[in-house]
Amino acid sequence: MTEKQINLIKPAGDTTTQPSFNISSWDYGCCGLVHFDRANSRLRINFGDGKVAILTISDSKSLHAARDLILARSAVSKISHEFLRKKVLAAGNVLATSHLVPAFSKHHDHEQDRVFSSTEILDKERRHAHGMMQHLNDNSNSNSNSNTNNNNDFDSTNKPKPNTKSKSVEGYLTTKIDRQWIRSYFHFKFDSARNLPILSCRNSKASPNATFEIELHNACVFAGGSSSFRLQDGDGRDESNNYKKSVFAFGVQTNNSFFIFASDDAEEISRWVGCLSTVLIDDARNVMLASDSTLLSSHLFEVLKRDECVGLLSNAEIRVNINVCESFQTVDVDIVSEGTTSASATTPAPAPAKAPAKAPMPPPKPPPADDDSVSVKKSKRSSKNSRRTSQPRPPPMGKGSGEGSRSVSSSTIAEEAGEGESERSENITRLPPTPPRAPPRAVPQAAKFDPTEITMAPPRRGFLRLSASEKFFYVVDAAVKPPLLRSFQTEAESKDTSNQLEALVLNSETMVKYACDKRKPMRRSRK
Amino acid sequence: MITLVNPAFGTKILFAADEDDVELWLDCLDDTILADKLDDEAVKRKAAAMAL
Repeated sequence: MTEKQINLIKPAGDTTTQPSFNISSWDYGCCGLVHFDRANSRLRINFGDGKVAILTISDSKSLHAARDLILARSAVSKISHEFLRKKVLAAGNVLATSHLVPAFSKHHDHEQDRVFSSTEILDKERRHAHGMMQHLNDNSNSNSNSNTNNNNDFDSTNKPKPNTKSKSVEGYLTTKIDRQWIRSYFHFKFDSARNLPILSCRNSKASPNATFEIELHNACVFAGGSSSFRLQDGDGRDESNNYKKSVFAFGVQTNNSFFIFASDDAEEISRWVGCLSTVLIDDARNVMLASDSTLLSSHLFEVLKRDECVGLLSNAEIRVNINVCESFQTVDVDIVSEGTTSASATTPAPAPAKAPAKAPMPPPKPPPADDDSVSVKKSKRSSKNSRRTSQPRPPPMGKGSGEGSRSVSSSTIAEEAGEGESERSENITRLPPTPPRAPPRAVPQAAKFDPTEITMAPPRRGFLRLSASEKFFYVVDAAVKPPLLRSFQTEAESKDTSNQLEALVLNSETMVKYACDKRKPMRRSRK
Repeated sequence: MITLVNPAFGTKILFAADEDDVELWLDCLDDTILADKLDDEAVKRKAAAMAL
């Protein structure tokens, strides 16, 4: 039996009820599907290759937090390394291969209560992929597959919103099915007859029949800030496809599978992401890549650290460690709040006895040396970070936990989360190794905190493009509450705010993501 | 390319003229959001202090 039921522990005295969503450490991010069982306050994580963990969380808000963390992180993991069998690495610039991800319901045989082996899973994947291609227009096949998987496992917030059923998008995309990249004409729309959102694939726009369909009920779309994808084959070599230049991509996770759709046209991807993310999800956090949340939170953390106000927001940083030993006999999970004592350090985990200290999964390979865009991109953002505060960045979360079994992967995670930027950056001075973090303060020091000390960038106004043909004048209006990014047809209209086209709210729920275009020569960071 | 995500409007992708322009926009957006978040926290702290 490979399932272990464990409890998520909150530190003694931690009364936080609404933690923010920052992932600072993730020792093993190979999440397949996360089943959100609201009724039983449980998260059931299928690691995709036969390992299943059940996380029982005592209070529902922490459950939501953990769910969001895992969902966000699993997207990164899928696109990045583990799920793609270490073929790729994510660190700013994501190298990606697409792959049909094993499905929980497909691989776990409830009747026999056993977990399939990796070989069986691969066989099933192949059969499934072939089946998708062979059962052309067999809508009932995919529908029945998905419908049988619902069973209250997924959060209902992912269901399509009624007012978005009229939205559709279509165009040429490239995806990988059964180890083959295919460029096809995809059309997404809400099928009123079946009351389901359907992504259909045709060989070309003129083809009358769909070659296959993907039912996107309960699906999530993942779009990253790092959108320059490079496609690789299973041996890590660049694939000889049409994408010698930048490739942009987004991911779609259904109940059964995970697909990456790529295009060399960023605006094409933009159209798809814009539509799918609007239609398929209610919770925008599901499209948040962890690196982005980390970026935002790290700013906050830096400021608080600088002002010695760590602990002021006792729930500002939530660390989630999931450590899966190779024996898969033990899963340790703890959630701790920054500014409090680590739960694992003070309270023995209630999980079954720990397995002998086996090495965690090895870290992913470092990025290719020729991947300039990674370092350039990171250095640019790092330079921004460095000018916000004169102090070195705090050590990665989790490094001070003193848990040897996490030491290897925590550095990996730190790099993923942006903490390893200085090592790759040519513009950042190398700092001496940071000592383990001192025990965090338990008492907030609100009196020393003054948000006005933060050096803010000046207000921005100027032209931005939505697409090749749509160009508007944008103004960040921080004077109103919440601050807005407003668009106008012309600069003149922006001054009297007469014909405002759109107002995007820039409150704390907003995630800003960065993406570079490898086609354009990157300049050195400004000083 | 700048991506904005918010539950209120979903995902919005914007394109700036060049890398420097992207940087400036990102700085501004990040800072604005951060300032708003800190303002919120300040208000909450003040309210909590008042309650005590």
